[in-house]
Amino acid sequence: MRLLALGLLVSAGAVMAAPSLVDVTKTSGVDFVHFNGMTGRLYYAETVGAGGALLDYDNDGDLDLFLVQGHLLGGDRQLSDALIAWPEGQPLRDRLFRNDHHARAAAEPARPAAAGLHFTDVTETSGISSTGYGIGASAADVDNDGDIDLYVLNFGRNTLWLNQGDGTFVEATKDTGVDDPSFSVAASFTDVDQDHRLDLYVANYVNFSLVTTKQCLTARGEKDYCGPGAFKPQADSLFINQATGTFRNQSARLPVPAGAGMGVLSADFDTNGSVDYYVANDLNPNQMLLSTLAKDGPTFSDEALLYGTALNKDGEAEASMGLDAADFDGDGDLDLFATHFRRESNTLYVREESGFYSDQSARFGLAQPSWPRTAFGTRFTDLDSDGDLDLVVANGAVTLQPGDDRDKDPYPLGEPNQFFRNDGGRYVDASSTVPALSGGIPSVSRSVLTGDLDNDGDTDLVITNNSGAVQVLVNNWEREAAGTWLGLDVRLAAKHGGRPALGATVMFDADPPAVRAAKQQRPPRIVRVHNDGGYASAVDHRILRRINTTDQTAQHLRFAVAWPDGKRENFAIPIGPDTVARYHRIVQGTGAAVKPVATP
Amino acid sequence: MPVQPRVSVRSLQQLRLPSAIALLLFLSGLAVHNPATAQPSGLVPIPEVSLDAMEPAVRTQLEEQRTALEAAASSQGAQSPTEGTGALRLGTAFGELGQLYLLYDLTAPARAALTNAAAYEPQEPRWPYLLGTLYEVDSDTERAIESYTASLELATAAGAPGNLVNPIRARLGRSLLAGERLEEAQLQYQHLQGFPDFQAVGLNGLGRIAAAQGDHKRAVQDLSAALAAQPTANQIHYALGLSHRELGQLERARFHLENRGDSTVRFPDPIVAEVQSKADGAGAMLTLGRISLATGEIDTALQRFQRALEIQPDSAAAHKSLASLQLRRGETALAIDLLQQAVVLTPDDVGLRYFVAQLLVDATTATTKEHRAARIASALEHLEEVLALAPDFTEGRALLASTQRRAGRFDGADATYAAGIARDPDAIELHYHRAETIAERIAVQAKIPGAPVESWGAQGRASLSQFLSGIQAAGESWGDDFELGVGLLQLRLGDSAPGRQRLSSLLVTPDIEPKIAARAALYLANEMAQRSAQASAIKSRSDSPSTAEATASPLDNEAVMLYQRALELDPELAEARFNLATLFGRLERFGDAASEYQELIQQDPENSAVRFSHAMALALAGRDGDARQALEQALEVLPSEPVLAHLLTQILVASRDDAVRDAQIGLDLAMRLFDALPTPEHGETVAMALAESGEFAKAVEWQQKVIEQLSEQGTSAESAKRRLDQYQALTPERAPWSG
Repeated sequence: MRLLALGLLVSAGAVMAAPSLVDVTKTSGVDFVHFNGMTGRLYYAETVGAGGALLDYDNDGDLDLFLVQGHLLGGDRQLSDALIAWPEGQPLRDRLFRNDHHARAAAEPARPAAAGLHFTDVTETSGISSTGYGIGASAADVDNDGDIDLYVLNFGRNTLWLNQGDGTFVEATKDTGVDDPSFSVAASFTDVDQDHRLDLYVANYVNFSLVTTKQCLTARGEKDYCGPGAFKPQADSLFINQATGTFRNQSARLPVPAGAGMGVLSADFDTNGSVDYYVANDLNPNQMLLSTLAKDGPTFSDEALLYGTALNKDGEAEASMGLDAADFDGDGDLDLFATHFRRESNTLYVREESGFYSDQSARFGLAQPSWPRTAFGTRFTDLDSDGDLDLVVANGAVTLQPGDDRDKDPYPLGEPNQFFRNDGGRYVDASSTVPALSGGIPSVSRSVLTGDLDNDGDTDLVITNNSGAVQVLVNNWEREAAGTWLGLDVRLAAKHGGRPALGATVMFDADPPAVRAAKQQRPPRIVRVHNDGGYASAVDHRILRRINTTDQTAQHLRFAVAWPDGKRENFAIPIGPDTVARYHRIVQGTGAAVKPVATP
Repeated sequence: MPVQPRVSVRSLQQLRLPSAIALLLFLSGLAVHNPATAQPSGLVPIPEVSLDAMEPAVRTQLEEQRTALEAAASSQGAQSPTEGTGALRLGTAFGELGQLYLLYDLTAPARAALTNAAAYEPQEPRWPYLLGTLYEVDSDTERAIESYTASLELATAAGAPGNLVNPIRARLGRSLLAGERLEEAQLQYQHLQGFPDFQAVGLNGLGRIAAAQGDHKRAVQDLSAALAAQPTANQIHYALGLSHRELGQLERARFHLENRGDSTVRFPDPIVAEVQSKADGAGAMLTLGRISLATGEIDTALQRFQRALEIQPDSAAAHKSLASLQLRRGETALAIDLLQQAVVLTPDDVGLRYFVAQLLVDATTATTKEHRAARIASALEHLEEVLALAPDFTEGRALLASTQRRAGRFDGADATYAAGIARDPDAIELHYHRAETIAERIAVQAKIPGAPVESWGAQGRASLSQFLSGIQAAGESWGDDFELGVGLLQLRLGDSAPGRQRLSSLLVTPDIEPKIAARAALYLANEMAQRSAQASAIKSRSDSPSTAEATASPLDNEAVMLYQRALELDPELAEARFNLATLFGRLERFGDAASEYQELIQQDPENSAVRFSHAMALALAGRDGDARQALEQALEVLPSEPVLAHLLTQILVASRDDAVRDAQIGLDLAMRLFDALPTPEHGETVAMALAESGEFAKAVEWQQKVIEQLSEQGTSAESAKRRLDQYQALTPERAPWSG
């Protein structure tokens, strides 16, 4: 790890301002309330969901929202048995909300921001009839036809919904071979075999079933939800996308044993040019599945122990749930962050110069504040728009806290969410500065969906809550400092469907190594193009970059893209009134190709 | 003094049970009170906790202690405490209540009670110590350090013995290390050196300090010493592995990382032990036991689970916990008994019944056939009840059917699948399992006179056909491995032509996984070899013996080629190599057979059947010397395999090669074999050895006894009588295996 000097990396606006988040849920049209189906039997699955996905399903340039729903658990139970009532007549199903921002902005071009954020429930017309016990969702263009499809992760069979390009979806789970009956939580779409088609990794959890459910007690003999140790871990699944439009189940290629997976993300951790997976496991060592491309497909070896990312600093496997990977310290490599159970710290694995990782949670101020919370969703994101990566963490317990009385509150698991501000060398728990995120009555939060919902150059949030209403939080920072950002929408070439280049890496200020050495420069800060990670969710794949408009020497934003097929290109976007404050499509094949440099 | 565990946070989370012990070790709180500077200026209010949902023993215990506290408080009066026994009594009452809250993971009341205890009994080191554990569990390192420091000062001032002071130093060292106050931590850990019970914790701490300082060479030294001092503390391997990694010693790093475990470094801790000893409820005992289990203290866990069962004999949870521990200890029979009792207590627990059934089916500890049959019968009872309680529990139905199959109750299995299909017509896979069951029935019962094999085959084919139709209707494609399974099933059900076609097509499928194609070749080869063997059996019955020679038919040749193709595709496919070797044997290509067996030995040196077949092939090829050598090598690996020893003995006493025979060793071996296993076969070999030793009279005597024994068993004694004639004619036996 190089010493941090994040202040030097901030291109502009290094203001220590709090993010200006406003809860617009009530006016946004997103009236989704999660129902976990609990009737007092304390079924394990009840506390696990639920997440969702941000995706531009209608290709209109703004992010739409898909949210997954639970249902009643126990075949002999009626809705009237639910401890938290569900309104009669309202269907329990996953829902798709269309973002009307694009249409509204077109109607009021002079004041697009003032048009406000609004979503419309299009579930019915979309043809999505998804009524499984939803846990999470993933989104990607699996058939390279230019529109984003949906994969729903269920406690029960998962479902794939293929986008028809006309606003409707059809279910194609079995036709495409991605049927998975396990208790799935998260998924990652990435091109692991470098054939320009997205492959699918599914993190599966434990073998809980309603029939074999168990009863667990606290030390005081009170009935409570069980822990994951009460059930056997289920094996994860790997589906390789074939030329035929179907997937082949290649799960046998994954190392054993399974680890009760709750989160997964992809990145090239060993920098060998092929994409690897990092899997967050509940109470089992996390896995770093390094891939090697062989003639008959990718092979994987779990190197998490050696890399130092399997356990915490004391050698203990933690209850990992959410995770994210980012170059938070700007030293040119990917660091990892995983969220954990109460009385465990959330863990920051910092990549060292050796390529190995070390648990630096305490040093960066992330250990102690997470200790009393059970954390699920998380994202590295520049929430305060100061150019460095902050952390957002969604909290919510799964078991009784001492003193909780279920007779008074049937679901006393709410906990405040947290915002950790990157102060250049240390994270500071600045939750109190963001009341929209962490104030009010605590919910049982699960996923953090990050994305620029109103395309104004800052990160907005959608927080999903178990047995509660979803929250839409709009960030208004950019309205106060317009014109100082560029957005990158990195995509494959049209011949590969022009889809988002999930798995690509963007390197900013990327001089060649020799030039960097001569200038004594730091390695280029890297950003992965992704929508995976977090908890049970998919997020905005686009990249936001702060621009220093006062720096007369900075005439271009220069960056390189390492594409998932291993090739590299350099790009430069001129900085000027016509280019700032908007998103740019960065398309494979339109940059300057970089010849591979032989490494010694 | 019993060694108490350091209960890790991880182990607590594993249980997801907020344990009282958590408090002991990591108790936390939001207390504003600093025990080091506590003044008896008044009571810190103890937060109210509802006792309603707690188990009765815990509730009673807490209520009694609250009453004791109230009594002490009333005798003390409402005003601020003063010096004297009343204040001390009140302090003790607070402390004891705090201990209970701590034990039952009620952190906030524990913190308040212990804070009051420290205020009213300021000379008592236990209270700040326990407060330290509370702060530690809440990751409040600085307050933990303050509390432990206060406790250490009190203990040393009072001249407390090492067994009281050292745990405080150990925990203070840990907190100082967590707070990156390395030099102060080092001082505490150094104090522990020289105390055998604290050697490991001290060295472990010093090793971690060295690692934190970047001195990984020193870290390796200290951590290795810590591991040597307490080898069960396998968590040390992790830190050791990381230090080796930093030194660039990756192989050593991997070794240690792969050997890391959950067992932490333990040390005697009387203050914690005192708190743990107060546990009374079955729930608390179970929790404590599970924590012990998580930290590798099996015996302690066993005691606690047993105690939980004593406290609450009708607790299904206690039965189950004890059973799971007995399983871990390898005591399957005990575990099954406990679980059976748990079923009686909770007869509607489907998961429990299913688990017991699984255990009964899988358990390998049954001593007799009857015992085994009884277990299977019990498993079937449980599974039938499971389906009565949860008719849609597909795993339960599948296990019931497979157990019925295993028990040879094919009609029952068939009915189970039929019921499943009736309940859920969309469960097309049940048709497949039904077809599999019928195929197995054909394999097992085809030779029973009057068995309606054709009818079964037709039923099986019909089920498979329904399954395939269902797949087609659903537009599903289940991949090459599925095609492989269907092809094999078709062959087993006598649907040979489609089966062969399906498997053959896999051999030419582009991009197929080599292992799947290899299996397809294997199954095709097996089918051809079987057909050829059947044809040659028919031929040998119709021909005179002289014409029934082992000549390879076209089917045999094709089978050989397919086996070889399978091995090209998957050289590790042992079944293909074994069957190829067996076919070579049938074709009397013993040299080729021996070569294949030799390959198999490389793959699986401990496979006695392969070892035996290899030696036999060599002997049949006339290579007795090689056979002897192969058997001697085999017995080095598998010294207690009587079949190998028996064949070696026969070669030693009956080889045609003079240089191979060794009558003396052979006779010794033969006698030992017979002593161990007095079978007629071993008796014959003794006779053979005696004849080879020139002791024909004794050989005749042994051979006669063998013939009597065989006759009593109703077994043919024809060859034994022929050998008796030989011995009476003073002729030793040669190459008995070739017959």
